[in-house]
Amino acid sequence: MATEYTLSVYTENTVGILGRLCDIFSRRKINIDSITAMESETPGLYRFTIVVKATKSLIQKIAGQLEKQIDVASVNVFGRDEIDYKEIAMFKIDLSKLEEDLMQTLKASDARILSMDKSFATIEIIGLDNEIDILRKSLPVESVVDFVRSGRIALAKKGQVANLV
Amino acid sequence: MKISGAEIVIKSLLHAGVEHVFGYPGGAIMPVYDELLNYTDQLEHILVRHEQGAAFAAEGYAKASGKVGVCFVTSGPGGTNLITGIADSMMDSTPIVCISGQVVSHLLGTDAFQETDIIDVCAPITKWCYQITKADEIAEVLAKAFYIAKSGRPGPVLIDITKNAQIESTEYEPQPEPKIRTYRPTPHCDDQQIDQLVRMIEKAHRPLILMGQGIQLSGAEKEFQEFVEKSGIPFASTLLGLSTVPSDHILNMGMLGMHGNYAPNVMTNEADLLIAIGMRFDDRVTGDIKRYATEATKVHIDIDKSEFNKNVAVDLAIHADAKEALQKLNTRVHKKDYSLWISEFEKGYEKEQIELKAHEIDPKSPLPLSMRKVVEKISEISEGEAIIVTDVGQHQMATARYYEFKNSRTHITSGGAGTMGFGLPAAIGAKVANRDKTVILVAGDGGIQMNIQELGTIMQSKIDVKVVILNNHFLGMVRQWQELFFDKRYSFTEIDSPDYVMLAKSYGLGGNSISQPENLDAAITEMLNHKGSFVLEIKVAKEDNVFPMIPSGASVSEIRLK
Repeated sequence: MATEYTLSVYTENTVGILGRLCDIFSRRKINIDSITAMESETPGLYRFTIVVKATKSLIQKIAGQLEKQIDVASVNVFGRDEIDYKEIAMFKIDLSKLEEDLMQTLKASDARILSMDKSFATIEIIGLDNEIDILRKSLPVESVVDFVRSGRIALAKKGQVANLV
Repeated sequence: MKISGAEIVIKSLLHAGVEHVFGYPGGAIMPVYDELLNYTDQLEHILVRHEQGAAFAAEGYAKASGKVGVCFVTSGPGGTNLITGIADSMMDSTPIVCISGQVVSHLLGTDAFQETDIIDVCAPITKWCYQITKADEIAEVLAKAFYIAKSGRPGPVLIDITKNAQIESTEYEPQPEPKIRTYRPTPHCDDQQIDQLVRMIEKAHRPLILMGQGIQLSGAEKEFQEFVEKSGIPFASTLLGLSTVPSDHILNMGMLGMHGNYAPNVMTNEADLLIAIGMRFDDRVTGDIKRYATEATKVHIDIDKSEFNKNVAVDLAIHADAKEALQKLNTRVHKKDYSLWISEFEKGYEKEQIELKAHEIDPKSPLPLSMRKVVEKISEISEGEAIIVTDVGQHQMATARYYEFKNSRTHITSGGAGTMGFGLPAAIGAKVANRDKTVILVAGDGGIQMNIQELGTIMQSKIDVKVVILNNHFLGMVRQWQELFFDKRYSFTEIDSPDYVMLAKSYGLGGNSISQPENLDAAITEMLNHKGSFVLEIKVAKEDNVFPMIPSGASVSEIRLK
C-alpha cells in the first residue's frame, strides 16, 4: 500500500544533480508530489526535500539508489509523523469578489497581508498542507486571481546530519 | 609552463596508467587527436570502425584485464554511438572511461553541428558523467573519472570535453586520486557480522554458495577458493562468475540461472543456507522470486548496499569488499563433511546428462554438429587456457556451459544487458590487453553481423583474434522461444549470412568453413596455429535448443530438461 514519505537528500551543488535524482523516481513511474532544494547548513551541500507516495519496500530501494549517486551524500526517509514540516502559499485576491471581510479570513487562518491596494491584496500563509487547503477553500473561487505553493520543507523530529566522509 | 588542454588530456591518461585507447576521430576531438601523435610511443591508439566498437573494445579490455578501458569519440553521433556500450558496462559493472569531444562551449544548447547533449542522455547509464568546459578542470576531472570508474562497484564514466577546453592553455599539475566527500566506495567489513555468518554455517547441513562476478572485481579469486576448500561448502556460479575458479574444481556444482545446470537451480530450493557473494540475484538467476530459496537462511555479501533486499529479502546483509570478507572468514571457518548433500548435486548432474544425451542431434542429419560439441572441442584443443569471448544467444549459453575454464577473467561476455554485437569488438579489446594469450571469439551468425565492420580494426591493427562463427542460419535464442512458446511461428528469425571465408579473405584474414564433425579437430587446430586472425565458420544444426531452461515466470525448481 502506498503511503506518503518525505525524503531529505543532501547533495553536492552540481549541474545536473536534479535530473539524476528525478530519473530514479521516474524510472519507477513515481510522480514527485513536491520537491524543494536550497543550500544546507554545510558549505557547498544542497538539501532536497522530496515528497512522494510509495510502498515501504519501494521507498527503501529508491533511497538506496539515490544514495549510490556519486554526488549524493546521504538520503533519509521519513513518514509524516517523524517530521516537523511547513509550506508557504501566496494568494492574490480580488477584493471586489470577496464576500467576507478580508481581516476576518486572515485571522481565522493565521495568514498575513504582503501587499495591498484598492483592488487587490496579496496574502501569505505558512502552515501545514491542510491549513493551506482550508484557507483556499474558504475563499470564493472567483476572488483568487493567482496562487502558488512552495512545496514542503521539513526537519526530522529526531534530527539528522549530512553524513560526509 | 602552460600546455594545451589536449595535451593535459593525454598526460592525465598516462598519469592514470592508461596504455591503450580505442577510438574514432572527428571534428570536436581533433585537438586531442593531434596531441596524440606526439605520444604514440607511450599510448597506443587503435582505430575502430564504429564508435560502438570502441565502447565494446574498452569493455572487453577491462573485463579481460581488470584495468580501466578507455575510448575516444567525437561529438554528436560519435557520442550517441557509444550509448549501447556504456549501458552494457553499467549493467555489468565494467570500469570504462569514455572521452567525447563536444562543440565549443559558447555553442552549447544552440543545436550546433554535431552537437548532442550527451551528458543528459548518458546520466542514467553512467556511474558518473561530467562536461569539461575549461582546460583548468581537465586534470582534476580525469583523475576523478578514473577513480570513480574503478573503485567500489566499478562502472562507466563519460567525460565530455568542449573543443575550446582542448585548445586553450593552462598550467598542468598531475592530480592525485581525489577524496570525494559524498562517496564511500569501500565499506569496512563488520567482524561481528562475520562471526554471525560463521555461526550460521556451523548450524547448516545443506549450505550452498552463490558466487558472482564480484569476486573477480574484488581480485578475491584466491581467497574464495581458500574459503571453499577450508569450509568444504559447495558453490555454484552466475554467468559472470564463471572462470573465477577453475571449472573442474571439485566443489563446483555448476552454473545458476535460466540456462544453468539442473542441480544448482533445483537445490537452491533445498538448501538451508545460501551464501551469496558478489552477485545481485538477477532475474535470470532467481526465476520466480516468490518461489526462490524458500527453505534457506539467506546471507548476502556485497560491496553495493543498495543491492541488499532489492530483489530477494535476506536474513543477513554484510556490506563489504568480497576480498576482506573472505579473508576474515578464512581465519574462522573449518571443514565440515557435506558429502551426502553434495551427492544430491551429483545425482542431478547425472540426470541432466542423460536427458541431454537423449536429445542429441542425429549424426546422420546434413548438419550434425551441435554447439555443445564444437565448444567441447574448442575447450579440449585450447586446454581451457584461452580467453573466451562470446556474443549473445544460444552459442553464449553453450560456451558458458561447456567450456572448461582454467584461469580467472577468461570468460568475457555481455551478461546483464545481453547485447548482440558485443563479441567481435570485445574480443579485440581482450586481445589488446593480453597480446601474449590466445583469444577466441565464439559468436552466432546474428551477433557477428552486428559489428562485422570491426574485422577492419583487426586487419589494420593486426589483432590476432580467432573468430568462430556458429552458424545455424537463425537468430537461435529467439527461434527457440518461438518454437517453445509461439507455436514455432518463426517471425523474422531466419537470417542469411555472407560467405564468411570470402569476407575474411577480403580483410586479409585466414578463413575456413566446415560443417562435418570429422573436420572439426583439424579446422580448430588450423585456426589456432594460424599466424594472425582467422575466421572459422562452423555450420551447426539449424534447430537445436539450449537445455536446461527455466522458462519466464517459472520457479528454479521447475527447470526444464527438454
